[in-house]
Amino acid sequence: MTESGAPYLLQVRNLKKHYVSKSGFLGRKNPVVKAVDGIDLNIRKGEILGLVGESGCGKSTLGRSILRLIQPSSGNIVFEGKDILSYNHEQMRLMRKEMQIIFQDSGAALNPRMTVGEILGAPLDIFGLAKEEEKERRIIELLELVGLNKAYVNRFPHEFSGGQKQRIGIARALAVQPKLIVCDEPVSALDVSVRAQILNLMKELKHKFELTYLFISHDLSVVHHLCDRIAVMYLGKIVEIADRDKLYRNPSHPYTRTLLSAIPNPDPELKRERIVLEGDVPNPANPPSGCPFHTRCPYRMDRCSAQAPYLKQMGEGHSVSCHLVDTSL
Amino acid sequence: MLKLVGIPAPEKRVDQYPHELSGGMRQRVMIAMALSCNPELLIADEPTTALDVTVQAQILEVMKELKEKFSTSIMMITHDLGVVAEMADSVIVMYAGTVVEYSDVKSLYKKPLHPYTEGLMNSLPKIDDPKDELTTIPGTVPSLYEMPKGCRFAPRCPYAQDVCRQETPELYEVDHRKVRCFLYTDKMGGREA
Repeated sequence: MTESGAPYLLQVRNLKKHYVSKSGFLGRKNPVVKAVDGIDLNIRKGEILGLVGESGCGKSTLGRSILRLIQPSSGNIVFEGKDILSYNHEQMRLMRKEMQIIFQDSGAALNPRMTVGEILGAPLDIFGLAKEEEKERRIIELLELVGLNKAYVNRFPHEFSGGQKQRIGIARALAVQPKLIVCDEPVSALDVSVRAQILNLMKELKHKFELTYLFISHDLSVVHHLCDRIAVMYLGKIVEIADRDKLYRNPSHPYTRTLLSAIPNPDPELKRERIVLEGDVPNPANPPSGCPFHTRCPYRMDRCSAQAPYLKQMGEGHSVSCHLVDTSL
Repeated sequence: MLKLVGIPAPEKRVDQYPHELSGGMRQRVMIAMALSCNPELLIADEPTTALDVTVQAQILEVMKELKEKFSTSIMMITHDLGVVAEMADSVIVMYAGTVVEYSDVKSLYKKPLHPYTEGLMNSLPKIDDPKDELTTIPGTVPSLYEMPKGCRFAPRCPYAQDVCRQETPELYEVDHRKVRCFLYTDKMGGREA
């Protein structure tokens, strides 16, 4: 757990990423896809913030926008007190030493024509962190850190299993000794037994190097295991954000409740009341009016289709974006 | 059929192409296709793996409903122990090409017999019982070209002894369940279920 007094490492203010579709036809207005639509987030130093939601809700776009791997449309990203959205290319390049990313598909994220040694050496070269023997030593150190045999240094990515490739991805992110790591579904493609190994490794490394993670996942049990605080996203917006235990004990947004009740529980004797939603996630190019969730919400009221709710604090460290919450107060 | 699997506006959907449907809708269509000839057995190979949790919940509901309605038997192939607990009556656990355990669903989750099943259960993060560190199964699944001698799970098994590395265990019957492990034989103390 993080002491709540730790300073903010990252503050995101009203971040938006809107894609304008190119399919405008005969002068019709081009539809705008609001992948990330006005997000506010704070991450304290040493904290793990979980970001959950269904596919297409904008989790990854948000993660990549924060690193400016995708250029956001508007908003502010403040990292250690500096607004990095105003940085030019060179300033941003240097910033990347502080912020790294781990990808879901570790196979595709590693260059198949480079050996593991070259892959881990590249970030060291780019930032001029280590040369020759020092570099060799550092590469071996990184391999050992993530639990890989140092004899693997001349092997290519295809010679490794999925879990080992993810370990290489983690080692590469650690090479530059970053402060923040955005983890984009790092264990979603792995088997349960290997997934547990990687989760343990990530937890261990976090403590060792006092890292801060933004952990993106659709798996609520993984997020519960790893994260201190959790933000739930739906169609480009955060609908609820709270400390882990508050969110799981007292989920307040109907969408959060649905997500929690939809996790298949590995206990056949447990009969739970399950909220099964109607329909699919709406098309983000044509989002519903008012609250984006009202088309699937079991508690919808007239007000929900007319007026969009915004994130309101309903307790210490617990904010919810739902009209139900105002009325019950 | 489309109405049965819960597709809204089936009169309209029937003229659409697959790319016009969402992932959940496409899986519903697949179920409708599979059930249209009233089969006695439906083999569902990871039917919800590619779907989001909320949509997965919908599809599982549909499958349960239709199973009751048509009394179809379902063989459900999945890696998700949560889905198994929810859907299955009896379970087969496979490891590296062999069946290692066969059991009814309740006993399996109450007390897994095979060390591999035990390892799988332990490596799940549990929301109602959080732990700081997950118990893992060391190592990885062996390559099909280099199967270990003896029990295929022995190199990763915490209970493995010499006999496991020399001889291949059979499926032994233990308490109406079956398990491929020497632990339950005279060779290694004859553990009880």
